Amino acid sequence: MHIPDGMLDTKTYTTLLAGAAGTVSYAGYWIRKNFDSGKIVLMAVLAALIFGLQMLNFPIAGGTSGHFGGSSLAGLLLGSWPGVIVMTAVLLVQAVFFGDGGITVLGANIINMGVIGCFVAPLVYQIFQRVNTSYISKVVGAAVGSFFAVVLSSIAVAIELWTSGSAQFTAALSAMVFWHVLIGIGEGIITGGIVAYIAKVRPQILEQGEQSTHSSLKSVTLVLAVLAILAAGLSFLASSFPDGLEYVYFEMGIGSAPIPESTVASPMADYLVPGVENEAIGTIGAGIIGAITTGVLLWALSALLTRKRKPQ
Amino acid sequence: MSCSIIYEDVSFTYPNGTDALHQVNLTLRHGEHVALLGPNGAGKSTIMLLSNGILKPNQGRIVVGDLTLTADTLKPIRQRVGLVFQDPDDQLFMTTVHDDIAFGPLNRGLSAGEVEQRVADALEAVSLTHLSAKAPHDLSFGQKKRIALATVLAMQPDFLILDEPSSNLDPRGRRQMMELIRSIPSTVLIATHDLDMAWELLPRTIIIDGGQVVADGPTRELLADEVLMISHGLELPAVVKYS
Amino acid sequence: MNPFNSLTPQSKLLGAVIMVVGIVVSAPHTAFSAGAVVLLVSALAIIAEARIGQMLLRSLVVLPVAGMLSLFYPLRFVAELTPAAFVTAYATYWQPMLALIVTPWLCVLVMMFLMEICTQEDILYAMECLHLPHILVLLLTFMFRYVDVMRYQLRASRRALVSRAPGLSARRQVMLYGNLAGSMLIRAYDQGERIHAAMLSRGYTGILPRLRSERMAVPDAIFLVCTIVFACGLLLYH
Repeated sequence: MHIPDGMLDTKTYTTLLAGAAGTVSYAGYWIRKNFDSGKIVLMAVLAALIFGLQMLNFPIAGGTSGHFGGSSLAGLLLGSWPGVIVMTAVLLVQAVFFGDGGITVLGANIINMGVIGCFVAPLVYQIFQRVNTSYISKVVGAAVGSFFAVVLSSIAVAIELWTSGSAQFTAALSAMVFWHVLIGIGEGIITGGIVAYIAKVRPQILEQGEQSTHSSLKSVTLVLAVLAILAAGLSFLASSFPDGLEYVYFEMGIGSAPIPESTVASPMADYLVPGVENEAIGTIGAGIIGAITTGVLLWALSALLTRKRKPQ
Repeated sequence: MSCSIIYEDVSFTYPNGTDALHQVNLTLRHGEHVALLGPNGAGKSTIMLLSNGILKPNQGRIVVGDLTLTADTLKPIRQRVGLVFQDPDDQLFMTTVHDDIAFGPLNRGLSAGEVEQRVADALEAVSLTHLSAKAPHDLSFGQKKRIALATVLAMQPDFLILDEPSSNLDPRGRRQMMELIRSIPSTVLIATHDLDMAWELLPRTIIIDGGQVVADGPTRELLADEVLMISHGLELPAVVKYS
Repeated sequence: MNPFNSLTPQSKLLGAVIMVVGIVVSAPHTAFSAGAVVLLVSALAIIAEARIGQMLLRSLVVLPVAGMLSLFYPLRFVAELTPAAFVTAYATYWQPMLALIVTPWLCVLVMMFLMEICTQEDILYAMECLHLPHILVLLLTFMFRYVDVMRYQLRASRRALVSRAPGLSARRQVMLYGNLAGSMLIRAYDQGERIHAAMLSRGYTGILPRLRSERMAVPDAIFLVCTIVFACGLLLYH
């Protein structure tokens, strides 16, 4: 699910942008350390392929359709960190060039549809491999891993919508998860099918992916720790200026009696939100600070950690 | 400048165990236009990839001009040896024709002005100047093949090695490609199945089979030798068969 | 006289992002603020001789997702699980719902306008100038170059599949499509190796070289200042 702009509130999208920036920067650093130019060209070709495969729609119940995500495949074949870069590229193109997914929420989309898939699917696959290294185990591991990746990312979306005050938790969760269980089955079948074919015809590709994943997952704990600190820090900064909606939401509690119209922001021209004028300015302040902080972080991290490679 | 390319006792085995070349000895002298013939899997592509160091020989050495091919001499040798592969889509990897042709000169560190000149000259050489701003996927196959050649010509190599330059071209495209090759002043080695092109264009032929050189001499002699041709998975060119 | 021609792609991209951030931060929008944005973009589109119809059409891509997500909003105001309560909630809070759809639509409209005044190449160059990590630049370049090749191969394989096996069960079809994707993947891998060989043969140093160099100048500064002023105007109005 590509979240559009405006669905998430400032503290949520800012935190996720920072988290994504950190993750992507580290992934770039990991690649410079571990991948040679041949493997990088391979990543590029795979990115083109996944981008093309995303045009594959498959029918879900009720006349609607889902499409292939690809983060699980990227993670399985390239390793988690390279997979993150590949999915970032795909999502960047979709957001900027096709309006599929918002700009401010790019961080959220990268984490939901990139990072989660690239780590969950290979992890599940590795668990299956510990138990049994047969061909069937590989295929089922890939399929099950992809399924969980899709479902987990939908849970992430539901959480993000809830913390933004755009949706009530249980409703968002049940709808998202139900929808994505179906999509997850489709993605699991497709990924499993691809892995089945490759395991038979060119198993070296899977082996290379397994090696990359193995070294990828070692660095995860370090990076997660860093990200957690970043995320906590930024959300502290941004949440000292509560959003109009959340002020209402957290004050009034979940699922309570309908809130009087006057305290909810309405698009009518002469609306005023009684008693929350300071909050309004606070939102603006948070917005500006959040945007600038994120921008600076993104710039600094990417420019610092991914300086141009020296000529070979 | 002495420009010859010499293979001395070169042997190569692929990582998966496939034996590709076995003690190959070859000398190409400056300005020669040579055909490299042989059945599929004989080792023609391997010879190409060894020439500029993409593959490293297990035994023997390769000498380009006065430089022996080693890890340190890769850069200068790659500037002197140009490879044109069979599938143009593998070589046109930038988003416009201009950028593809500029890729080689830019990597060499030439100034912007020099690069532009090289691009213009290369496009002129293949008579496709009007396609400079086009994207590769908007080109016809024949145009792609010529632009792929242009990307290498822009580097002004002393040695040009081409892999199946006339394959999949329509007759006119093939004729244009042949005229183009005829006009190239540098040393040219062409791996091909197009026996008629070899007969018409290339005075010397090397036949390789099973990873070894089995014949090396004037084209008009070797290609007219039916026994030789048939025993190495080839046949007489039409121009000989039907004359 | 198209003033956009004298702007660098970097400033156009930056301007668009500033607008998007301004729109997002000043949400929810009233009819007036939304109208102001639409008017501004339309005016700029006319000046830039952009295809307004195309822009509007392409901006509609966001409506299904935004519409669907906006449906969640009134749910917390449903007092009890009766149809009447649902109807009341939706009837009362249709305006915030609309606001939730309008914001993303305005953002996508701005981005689609950006697509009209810049080519793909331009945006890629702009991203590189703005220090997008080089590996992403490389990936994006290849994606733009090879996605058409991949799609063509996909279509050709599909055609071959269909002509050789017309009446297959759904399960067999799924398996065959898995094979199709798998074989495309292996072909992509092999092609990647060949491309890399071609790149090395032409002196590839690990960085894609670029000839283009456009520095930001006075017109860009003016453009960016105007954009920031408009965005702040949106914020202050809110």
